[in-house]
Amino acid sequence: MNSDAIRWAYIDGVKATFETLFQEQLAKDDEASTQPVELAGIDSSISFTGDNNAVLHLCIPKETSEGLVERFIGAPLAFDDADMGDAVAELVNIAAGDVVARLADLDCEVRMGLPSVMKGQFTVVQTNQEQCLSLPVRSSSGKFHIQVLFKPSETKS
Amino acid sequence: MKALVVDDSKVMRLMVIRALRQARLAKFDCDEAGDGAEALKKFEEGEYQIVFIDFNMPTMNGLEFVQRVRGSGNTDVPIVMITSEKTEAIQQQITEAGATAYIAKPFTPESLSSTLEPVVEAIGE
Repeated sequence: MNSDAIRWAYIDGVKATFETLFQEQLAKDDEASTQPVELAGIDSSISFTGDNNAVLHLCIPKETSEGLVERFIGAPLAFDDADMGDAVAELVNIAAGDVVARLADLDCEVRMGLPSVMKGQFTVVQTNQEQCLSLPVRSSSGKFHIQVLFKPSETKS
Repeated sequence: MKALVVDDSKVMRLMVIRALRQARLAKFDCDEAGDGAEALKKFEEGEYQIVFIDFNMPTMNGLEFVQRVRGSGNTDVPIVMITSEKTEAIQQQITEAGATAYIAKPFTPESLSSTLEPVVEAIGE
């Protein structure tokens, strides 16, 4: 089993979900800084436990979140609307379902938790190491970051 | 057709109700619940003809709701599980618990329609 395949299944699950939902391919943002990025917006996350333990984050700037959610629910929703968190949580929840299926195909059984969201000011660390996979991406609604944090020493390989 | 739509996400409940209307399979009169426990209470008090329920919820998830309803002897009311979980193991759990049908997220009015058509037809018989 390829550990890299398991790690990238999280990213691929998000990409595939966006392709299904929005009929567009997420592209890596090659212009993104490699330095930590300050971001005002929403962080939607969901945990995975089992053969692999990780937390998937979608760190979405305010403007991007409004665009994505409008396309997702088919109606505009302001960032400060009480339902914004609900909608973004559902996005990460759907992506997580795809991740679980991809990991199962790799003989890696995991269960997903419940999504949670935080609005505010975040620092996104742009690093790809054993315990963190980070990918800045571009969509037609704007840029955002996909980040996966792995629990140390528990990546099945 | 009196329906109960259960999801901890208000946005998803609205999306399910809208998709049901767009699917035009029946005229659904929808009540809402935010988790399985609230759904069970409403289900016991109301006379619902069909239930749409999310799999992954706090307090009481969709699977437990199905088990409780079927365990009480109610095998007549169709329960449609809506979930982002796509693995065969989860689908098997849903079927074994006694759910009538399974709809994967993300869904479209078309995919909803094709899964629900036989279920709705059976209610009408």
